[in-house]
Amino acid sequence: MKLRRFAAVLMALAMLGAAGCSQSETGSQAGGDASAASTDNGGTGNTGASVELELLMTKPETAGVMEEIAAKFCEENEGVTINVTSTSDGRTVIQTRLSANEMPDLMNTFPLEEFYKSMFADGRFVDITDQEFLNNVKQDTLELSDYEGSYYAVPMSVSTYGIYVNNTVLKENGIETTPTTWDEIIAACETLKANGVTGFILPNQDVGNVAQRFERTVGIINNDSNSEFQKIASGEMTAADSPTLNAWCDYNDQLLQYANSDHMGMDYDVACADFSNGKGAFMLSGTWMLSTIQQNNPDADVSLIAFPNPTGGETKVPINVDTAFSVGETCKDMDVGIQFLSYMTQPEIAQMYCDVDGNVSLIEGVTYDIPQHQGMLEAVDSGNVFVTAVNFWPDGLREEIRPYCQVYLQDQNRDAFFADAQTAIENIYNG
Amino acid sequence: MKKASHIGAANRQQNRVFALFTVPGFLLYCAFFITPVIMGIYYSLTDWDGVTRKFNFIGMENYGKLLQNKQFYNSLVFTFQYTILLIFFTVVLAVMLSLLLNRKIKGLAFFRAMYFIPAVLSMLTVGLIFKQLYYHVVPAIGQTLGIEALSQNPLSNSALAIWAILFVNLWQGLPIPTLLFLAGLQGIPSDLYEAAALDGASAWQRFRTITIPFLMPVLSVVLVLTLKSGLMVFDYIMSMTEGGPGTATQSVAYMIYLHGFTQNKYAYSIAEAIVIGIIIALISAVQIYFTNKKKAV
Repeated sequence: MKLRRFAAVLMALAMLGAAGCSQSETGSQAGGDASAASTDNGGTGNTGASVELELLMTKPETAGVMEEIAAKFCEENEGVTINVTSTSDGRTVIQTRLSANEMPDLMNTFPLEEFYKSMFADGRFVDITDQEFLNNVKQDTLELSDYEGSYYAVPMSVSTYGIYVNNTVLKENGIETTPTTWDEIIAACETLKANGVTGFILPNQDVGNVAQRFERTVGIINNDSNSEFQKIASGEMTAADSPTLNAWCDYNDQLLQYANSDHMGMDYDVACADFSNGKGAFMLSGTWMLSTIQQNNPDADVSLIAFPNPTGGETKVPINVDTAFSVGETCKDMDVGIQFLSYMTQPEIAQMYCDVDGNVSLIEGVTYDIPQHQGMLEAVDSGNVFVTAVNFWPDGLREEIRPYCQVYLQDQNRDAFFADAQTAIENIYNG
Repeated sequence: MKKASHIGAANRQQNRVFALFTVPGFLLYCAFFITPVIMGIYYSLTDWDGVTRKFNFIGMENYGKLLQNKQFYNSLVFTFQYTILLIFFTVVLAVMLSLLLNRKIKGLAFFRAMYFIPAVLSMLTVGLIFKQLYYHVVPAIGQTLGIEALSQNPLSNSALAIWAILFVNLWQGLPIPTLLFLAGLQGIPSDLYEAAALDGASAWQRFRTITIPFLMPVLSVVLVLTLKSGLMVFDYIMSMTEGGPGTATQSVAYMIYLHGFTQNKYAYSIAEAIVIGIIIALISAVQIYFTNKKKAV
C-alpha cells in the first residue's frame, strides 16, 4: 500500500513538475526578451554578435521586394539577419501580438491612422524624431507622420485614390479621350452600356472594399466630413439631411446603372482580375492596385485618374501614408533597427521599393516613373490633395457603417440607409 | 467492528490518492481556463481598447450598452436560427447516412472513407473554396437550368446566404456525427432486433423503440458538439460573407471579432463573449438534462 501511495505521489509530483517546467520556461523566455530589450534600450547596440530581427509587413504585395532589400541589408551588415513575415490582415495580427507582448522588431505602420496613433501614444514604438535620416524625406510631406510633435515612423510613400481606367476598353468602344469630369465619365458609361460593355466593375460583396470606397469618396465629396458626422451624432443634423450622405447615395445610384450585373456577389480579387482583363472600363481603387493589375495582365493598358467630385464641387485627391517603417519598443537591437530605417531612406533602396510599390515616393532623389500614375503625381506635387477621411474619423466608424453601405448598394433604400447610418454614427461618436 | 474501521481507513487513504491524481489536471484547468475567464470578467468591466496599457474601471457599463444594442439581438437571432437549422439537418442527415453505412453494401469501406474526407480539411479553406464555387459555378448552373434564385451568387442574397453557409457547414461537418452514430448503431445488440422482428414489430417500430433509445447517449454528444459549432460559427462567415450582405449573416462570434479587432472595443467584445458564454452554458445544461433522461442504458 505504501509503495502504491509513494508511486502515486511521485507521479503527481512529476506531472506538476512538467507543468511547472513549461511555465517557467515561458517565464524565463519572456524575462529574457524584456532584459534584452532593456539592455538594447540602454544603447549597447549591436556588439558584433549575430542578431536576428523580424520585419512584419502588413502589405503583402510588397513583401517580395522587402525580402530583397532585407537580404541586401544583411549582406552589408555582417551578423544581422532580418526575417520578413507578411500578412494581409495586419491589424488583427498586430493586436494579437500586442496582447501576447510579442511585438515585431520592425514593421510597416500607417502613421496617420488612429489605431497606430494610439500605439505611438502608448510608447509601443521608438521615437525617431532626432534621427538624421528624416531629412531624406521630402520635408513638405514629412509632417504627415508627425504625432504630437514627434516622429515614430519614417514615411516612404503616399497612396492616392481615384478611378482606374482600362484604356483598351475605351478605345475598342470608340472613346478616344480619357474622361476626366463626372459628366464625361457618365457619358462614356452610356456609350459602353449601349455597346453592352460594363462601365464600372464594383466588388460589392467585399465589405472592406465597400467601406474604403465609402470613406474615400465621402472625403472627396466633403473634405471635412468629420464635422458633418459630428453634427449628426450631436443631433444638430439627421443623417437623412446630410448633404454628404445624400451625395454618396446619388452618385452610387448613377454608377450602379453601369455596373457589372453580379456586383453584389463579386469580391475584390475577382473584380481586379476582370478589370485587368478588359471586362469593364472603370474601377475605383488606389495606386496600390497597379501591381495586382500587372500580375493579372502584364499588357493591361490602364491609367489612374482623379475621382471627380460628383456634386460638381472642387475635386481633390485623397492621399494616405501607405508605407512607413517603425521600430518596436521591444526591438532586440535598437541600433540595427534604426540603421535599417535609415537604410530604407537611401535613394537607391527607396527606388527599389517604389518601383514595386507603385505609390508616390516621399524620399528625396527617387524618380517616380510610373506612367499610369502621372496624373496622381501631378496632384501630389501641386498640393491638390487632402488627407483621407479615415484619419479624422473616430476609430471604428468605417467598420460600423460599412454593412449599411453594402445594403444600400443592394437595395438603394435610402430611408433604411439613413436610419442605420444615423445609429452607426451615434454609436461611434457618442460611445 | 475492527475490520470495518480498517476498511474505512483504507478507503480514505485510497480516496486521498485519487484526489492527488486530480491535482495536476485541476491546476492546469485553473491556469488555462478559470484564470482567463476571471481575467475576462475583470476586463469586461473596463474600457480597455486592446492596444494601450492604460484603462479605466467602468463597472457594468459595457453590459448595459450591449443589452441596448440592436446589432447584438440581430446577431443572436441569426445565430439561433442558424444553430437550429444546423442541429436539425445534422441529426437527420447523420442518422440517415449512418443507417446506410451500417448496412452490408458493396464498397462500404470506400464510402466510409469518402464521407470522412471533408472533415479533415480546414474550415477556412473549405469556406474559401465554396466562395469561389458560389461565384463561378452556381450562377452558371442556375442560368442553364433557368432557376432564377440560383442565377446569382447565393452569398449575395440576404435570404439565401444563410442556406449557402449551412450547406458548406453540413458538407464538412456531417462526417463526425455520422461516425459517432455509426459507432452507436454497431453497439446495439442484434438479438433485440431479432426478438422484435419475431414479435412482429415493423421497421419503423424497431427504429423508434430500439434504435433511437440506444442512440440517445450518442445523440447527446452530437447535440452538444453541433450546438457549440452552430452558436460559435465564425470561420465560414469570415471566409464567405464577412457577415453580409449587410448584417444578414452576422453571427455572434463574428460580431465579437468585429468589435474587438476592427473597432478596438476589446472590453465591450469581452462582455459580449461572456453573455454568450452564459447563454451557451444554460442551453447546454438544459439539453444534457433532457437527453440524459431519455437514455436507454
